[in-house]
Amino acid sequence: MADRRKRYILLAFLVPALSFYLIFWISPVLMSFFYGLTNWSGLGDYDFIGLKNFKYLIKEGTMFNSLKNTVTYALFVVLWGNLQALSLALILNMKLRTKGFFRTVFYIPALFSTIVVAFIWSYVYAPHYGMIYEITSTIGFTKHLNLIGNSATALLATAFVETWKTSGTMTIIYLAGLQNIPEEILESAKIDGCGAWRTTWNVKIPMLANTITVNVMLGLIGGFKSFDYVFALTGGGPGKSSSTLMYSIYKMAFAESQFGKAEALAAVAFLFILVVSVIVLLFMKRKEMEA
Amino acid sequence: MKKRLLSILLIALMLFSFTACNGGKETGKTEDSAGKPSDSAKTEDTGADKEKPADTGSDEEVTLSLMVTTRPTTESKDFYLDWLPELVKEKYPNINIEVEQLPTDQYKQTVRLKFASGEGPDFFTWWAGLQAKDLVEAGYVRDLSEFPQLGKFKKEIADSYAFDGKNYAIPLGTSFLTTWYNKDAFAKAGITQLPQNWQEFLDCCEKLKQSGITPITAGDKQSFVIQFGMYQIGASEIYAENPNFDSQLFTGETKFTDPSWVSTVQKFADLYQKGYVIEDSLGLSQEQSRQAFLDGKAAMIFDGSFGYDALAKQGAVEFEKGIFCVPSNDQGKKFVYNLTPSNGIFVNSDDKKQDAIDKVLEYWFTEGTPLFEKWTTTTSDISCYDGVEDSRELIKEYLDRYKNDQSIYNLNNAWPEGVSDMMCTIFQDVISGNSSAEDVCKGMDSKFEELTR
Repeated sequence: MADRRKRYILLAFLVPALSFYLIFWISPVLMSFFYGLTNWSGLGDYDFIGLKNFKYLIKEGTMFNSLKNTVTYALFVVLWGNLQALSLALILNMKLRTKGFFRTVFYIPALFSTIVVAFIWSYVYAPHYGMIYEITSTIGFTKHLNLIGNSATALLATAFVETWKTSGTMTIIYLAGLQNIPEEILESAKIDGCGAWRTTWNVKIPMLANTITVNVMLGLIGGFKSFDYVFALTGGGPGKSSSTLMYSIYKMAFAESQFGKAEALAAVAFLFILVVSVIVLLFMKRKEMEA
Repeated sequence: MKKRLLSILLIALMLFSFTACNGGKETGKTEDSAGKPSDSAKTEDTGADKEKPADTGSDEEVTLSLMVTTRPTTESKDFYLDWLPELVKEKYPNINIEVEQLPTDQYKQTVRLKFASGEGPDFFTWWAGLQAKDLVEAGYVRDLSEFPQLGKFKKEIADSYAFDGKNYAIPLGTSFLTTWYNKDAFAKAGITQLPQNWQEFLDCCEKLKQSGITPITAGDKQSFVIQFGMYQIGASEIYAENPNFDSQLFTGETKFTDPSWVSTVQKFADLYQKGYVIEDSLGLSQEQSRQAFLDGKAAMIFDGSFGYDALAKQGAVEFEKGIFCVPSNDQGKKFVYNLTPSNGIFVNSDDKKQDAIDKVLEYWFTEGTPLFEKWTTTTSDISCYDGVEDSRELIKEYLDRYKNDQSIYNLNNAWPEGVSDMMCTIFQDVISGNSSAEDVCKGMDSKFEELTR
């Protein structure tokens, strides 16, 4: 009896936070699904239009194009970002005299704000003025790269900037994982005759399974959320070649005043990202257990 | 199993937060906006019942919020950020003006969201025609038909802010889209007079190219700049033959796939295909493109009178500048140019500080006051106020050159928001070689149909 009362009292303490959560978070989210079925322009009244928003999203190709770009972006961020961070972490974990200095240097990009990073890279990529242009001109190239002005490369050039910015954080996580590997295991590997490469491949990387899961999930979520660099560097262009889900939602709502349609795409984005993330998480967990 | 379920649930909640947070925010705003229009209309109609304004006849401090778009300025003090609050404070010590300035893209969304959440600015600048329609229909802006100085503005410009016979804004002036050119580069290429038709314009580009000068620079990475060239070409190509094109769009008598529009887009695309536009323009921003023009890297840039402060300055190379409208007309055919209302001042209808706003507006738009003088001498807009002439030589010369020609508003003034964006997005694909002029027009048609359905 006393236990039950105690439980009720504890539950009562949860009520304010839970109400706040339901009113300001869950209910707006559910409402947003409803607005996906309307033609709300962001101002004034709206009509219920059924699934017309979804029809237009499919007809004009926005849904497929945004999904494709988001998956490409996320895959690049996960694969290249992790490869880059793991390589850096392995190097910075060596017994180097200058490792403190390099750890600081490689972490610096993580300290900049997104807008500063985008501004720097817009000048790195700029044709006729940018750093890449100047370097290739100095070497003597007459044909120059136009990475963000080319629809074949704009998306990956933007994703590269994201991996540059997040490399410091990912490297730190890998470094922490590497330093958690017991010294005895590494020594046993050495006694068993493992060289540096075999130790890395057969001992260190399997021992980093948990860390890899964390970084893959972080990269995946960062990739699926991709908006800021697309907004600042390419504006989704040329054409729609770098328009990701989040950027398309933003553009629809704020540039075209089609909030209803944007909510419809947000619902699609939610379901898609939920399914993909859960599948990847389950896969990574299974791999962890195998390792 | 339980742990796995819990982790899946947590991931689901986390994803909810970032995919739907946008929607969540808007939803809150919708709840406000859904009931607002009728309330606002009532407030306006029953003006006598309004709550007594806080500042009426008293020295009580009133703070007014003003929102304006970012404008380039060469002056050390900006009119909106510095002069307006300072001079109003001098005249009315109890009135403070807080100014928020944002670039156009962010500006539009911010103003709309502020209104939708019941926090609209007390007064703000906005565009004419259809672009203001949703704000007016939602009842967010006040009827300014009775504003005493309204009669001082050119009627056709003031009327572009009118809906159902009521005027909702005080026009700040006009502007035009134009082509800035490097007179020295033209002379070097042997071009002695400005082109009068499309063929002469192409010849002019060819001469520049043959002389080793890039004819045109464009900051196409920011797709909105595509409008600057497109609308100059469209002015003659579409409206010389059919001045009623816009109204026919709404009645369904015509479409964007009309040959005149396809030809407009094709003519613009030809400039890229013939190599007259700077290489890699899709990687250049508007600012970088303007710098390329100022540095003498190209002989022309499609821009506007609003770019005066940014383009009148000197870059790495000193040269004399001029402006002209691209003549897309065939030889002997009618020429039409762009001249459009720039912005107007709109006032929040739901405001309890109307007296203070009226005082500021009256002070601002009454001839002879220090604020009026400062406004007319610093504005980048071309004045449409009776008796006030633009002092900038290039602008005066331009308006004088085309005074006998037909003018039209910027083409997108007649379209719902989103159509011009679609045009620019697909045209970027045309520049890349992945789409055609027909694709642009079909895309515009499809968006227009979607937005007016």
